[in-house]
Amino acid sequence: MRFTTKLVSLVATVILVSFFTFLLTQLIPGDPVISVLGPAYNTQTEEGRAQIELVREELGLNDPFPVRYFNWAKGVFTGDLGNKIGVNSAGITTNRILKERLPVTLEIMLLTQIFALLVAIPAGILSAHKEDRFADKSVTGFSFAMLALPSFVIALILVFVFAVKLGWLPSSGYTRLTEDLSENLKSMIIPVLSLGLGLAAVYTRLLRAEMISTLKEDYILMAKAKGISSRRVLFRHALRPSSFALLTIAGINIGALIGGAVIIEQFMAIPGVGGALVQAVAEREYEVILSLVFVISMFYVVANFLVDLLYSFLDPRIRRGTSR
Amino acid sequence: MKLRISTLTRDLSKRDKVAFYVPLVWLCAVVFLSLAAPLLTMRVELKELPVVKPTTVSTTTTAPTSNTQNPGGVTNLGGGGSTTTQAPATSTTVLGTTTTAPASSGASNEVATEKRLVAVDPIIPIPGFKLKPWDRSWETVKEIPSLRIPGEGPSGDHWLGTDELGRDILSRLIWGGRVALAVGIVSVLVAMVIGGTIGMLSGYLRGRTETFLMTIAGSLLAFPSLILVIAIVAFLGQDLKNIVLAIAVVAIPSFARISYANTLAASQREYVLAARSLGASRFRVLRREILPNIFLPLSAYALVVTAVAIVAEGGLAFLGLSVPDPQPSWGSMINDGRKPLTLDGTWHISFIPAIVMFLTVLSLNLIVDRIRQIAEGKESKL
Repeated sequence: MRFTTKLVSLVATVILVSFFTFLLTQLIPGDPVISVLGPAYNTQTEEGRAQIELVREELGLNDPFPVRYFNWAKGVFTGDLGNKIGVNSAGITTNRILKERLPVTLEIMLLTQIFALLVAIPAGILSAHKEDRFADKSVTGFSFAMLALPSFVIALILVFVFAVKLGWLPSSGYTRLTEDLSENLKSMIIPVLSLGLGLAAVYTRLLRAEMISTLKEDYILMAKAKGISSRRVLFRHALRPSSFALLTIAGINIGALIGGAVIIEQFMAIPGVGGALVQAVAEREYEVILSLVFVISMFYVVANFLVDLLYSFLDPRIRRGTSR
Repeated sequence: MKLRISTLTRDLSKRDKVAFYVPLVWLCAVVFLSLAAPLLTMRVELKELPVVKPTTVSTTTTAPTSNTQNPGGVTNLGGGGSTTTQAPATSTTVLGTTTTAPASSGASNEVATEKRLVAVDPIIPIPGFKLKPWDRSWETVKEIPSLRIPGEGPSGDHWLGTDELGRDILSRLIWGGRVALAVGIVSVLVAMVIGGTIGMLSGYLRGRTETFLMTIAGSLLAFPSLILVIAIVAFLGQDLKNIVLAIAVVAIPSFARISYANTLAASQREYVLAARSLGASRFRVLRREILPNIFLPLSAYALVVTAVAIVAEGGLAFLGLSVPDPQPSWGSMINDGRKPLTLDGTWHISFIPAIVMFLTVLSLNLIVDRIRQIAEGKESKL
């Protein structure tokens, strides 16, 4: 029952998101025809205007709004995300852009999540275990500082130290995974660290707060009274009920990272989806922008949906429908 | 509940008070300096000045007059080739006095006058704080290239050094603070008012209003916000107004969600029931009972968004989408310093604005933390 409701709301969100994306590209000023014909095209002459009309007709831009929306939506559901229409890039399909670039962005996203969780889980547990002691204070202080550092500033510092001064890491560029694994990972270190440190700070603070309230529960006292080692109490008894909020936030961040990696991708000259999107925006490729924004939003929506499902699967209190 | 500083610092240890007041002072300084930037820094003004023939120019008056060898307005002066001859002018006062002298004598002579760019002393000259050089920040330095020493480290003349074009970093930081202020305060206020109202209405009225507004807010939240900002700015054009607008639009749904959740909780309370049974209108209940109770969490969130907005502007600058070039913003200053990063001794160009941005965001976070503690404490007392 719960599953069906969630599925219905997922479908509704998908439709709404696609509609809003479409609306957005319609509301913004500018004429896609200009990108077909090139900016130098003469729009003043009679002939020129006729040409523009022709192109508009050909691209279906003269159709009424709902028709255009349904044409695009139909394409999306049949797996055709449209293509570039510009003078120099005609025929490049969005599918091709995604096929080339999505794996790169996904790799960054995945590595960043892994890094952030690997740092945050031990740090959060330690911090909660040693509440208000030195270890906790240093973890809290450090994560506070990391929260205030924008990803591009971290990237700047890392590039300055490790690429410019020490020369250990490449300052920009990307090596494909299939070409050279170690080079690939090397080119991933700075982007992943710059995105991951802030994220790890968010996760740490969250886990710490949850753990502290869990550790005050009676069953923890019970477990301790039974003589279970504090390591076992922390990892086996306290971690699981404390990690649900973390799970939710991590899920939300799957989408946020794919979108938020734009700046770092641009900074480090990594050929990800973000770069393609910025390029499409610069070239006024409406259909490509539309489809890319839609795909990125879908990651976000679907990730949230899956986390929601996983949540009720992992937490028996929700699964059995009893109140917490 | 009125939000007073005394409520926020009550029952704080001495160390925690420092952790509260230092960020507050920093933020106040940023706001004050940005607002007062036009008063504190040297300005460039178009003034009626007599035309001086190049042959009659004496060395002391070179500074303003050599500029004038290019007749015309701002744009002509910008590309002036003759400006290399004016090396002697090094201090602000020389420029200041020499510009006023010809202006007064111009009336008595029949020498033709001409509009020219001149540097004028700051309206409020604080001793030792006369921002150098020619500091209305960005244009002037372009006019007088000989005064520029690119990539200079901190010195007496330039407290924080100069950037890759020789512009004074401190002056640019202060002017750039205005962008941060616009983005961090104006757009957040707009989003807070609109989003807050939407959330309050759907949280209190419930029913169809709730379903309708919250479904829209929910699906707008599914957009990656940065992408949305990029799209809006790229299409509307790179302009401070559009950046502010874009960030406001993106922040509205999250404000709506926060205000919605808090309204839901507040409207269950007894005092709301009491007000309603006394016959208070919906509007009155919303204004007198709900609003004061959701204001604290909403304002704490607003400060978080302020920090995010300041960072977002920086992000836009990295994509080349922030305010157009000569106008400084913290983000574009950080971005401008990226290339000189590889050279020796010029790392400060991007690190100084980065530190300023970091300190501002950190200060906001520290204060938010404190407000949250207060809000939680209040919650638990009820």
